[in-house]
Amino acid sequence: MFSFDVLIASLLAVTTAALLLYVLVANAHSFASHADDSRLHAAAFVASEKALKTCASEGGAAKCVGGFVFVNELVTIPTTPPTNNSLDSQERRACVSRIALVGGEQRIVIYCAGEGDLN
Amino acid sequence: MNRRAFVFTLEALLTLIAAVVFVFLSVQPNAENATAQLQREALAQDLLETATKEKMIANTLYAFAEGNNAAKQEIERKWTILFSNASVTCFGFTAGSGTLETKCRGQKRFSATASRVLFDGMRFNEARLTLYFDS
Repeated sequence: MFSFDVLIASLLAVTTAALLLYVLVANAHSFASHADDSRLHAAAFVASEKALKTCASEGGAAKCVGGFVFVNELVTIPTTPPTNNSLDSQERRACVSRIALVGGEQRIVIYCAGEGDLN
Repeated sequence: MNRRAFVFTLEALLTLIAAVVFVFLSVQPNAENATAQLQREALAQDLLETATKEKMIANTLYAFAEGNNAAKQEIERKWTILFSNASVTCFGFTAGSGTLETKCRGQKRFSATASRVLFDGMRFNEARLTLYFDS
């Protein structure tokens, strides 16, 4: 038969084990989520680099948006979605703000990547 | 080993493992912060890159470096408008004898600095830009 102190110690041990399991499971999900976010950010950043280079070499704002979703709060330029799925329909996406020359003026342009750009 | 000693040993071991896990998690580099800082640096680099590429803007920078007050006001006005929709709260810009510090509309929690060498055909000046962000 268990004595009272052994029972308390056992309960503490079980509680510690449960807490440990919770921390591991919760953070495993967090790590996976961060990995996905990092991939999305990297995709958006690479997309912005490519777009800005194309823009610089070929000139003209329209060239800056080729193949990438382009959102600009300061100038209005038609967007070209990268996939058939609109970014708005994708739950996860990452955006990077860059500065490009549009018509000789500096403008903030925002390039976004969604889950569809990772495949 | 009696049962009581075994339970205490087991508990101590689990506590030690838990402590190691917590320490491991606390020393993990924060990838999210690194990505955000990369974007801030890119924004500062972009601003100077595009400013020096476009002849009209570059001429304004040259005039600013010579201490021209009209150029200073133009840079302050244009870049303040540019950053009105971004998380940039204020910025500092120096080139030659020109110095510009804008009034902050938020906190200076993060910063990103970029520099370029300006050459107007006569002399070289270092242009140094610091952007401040609240997020």
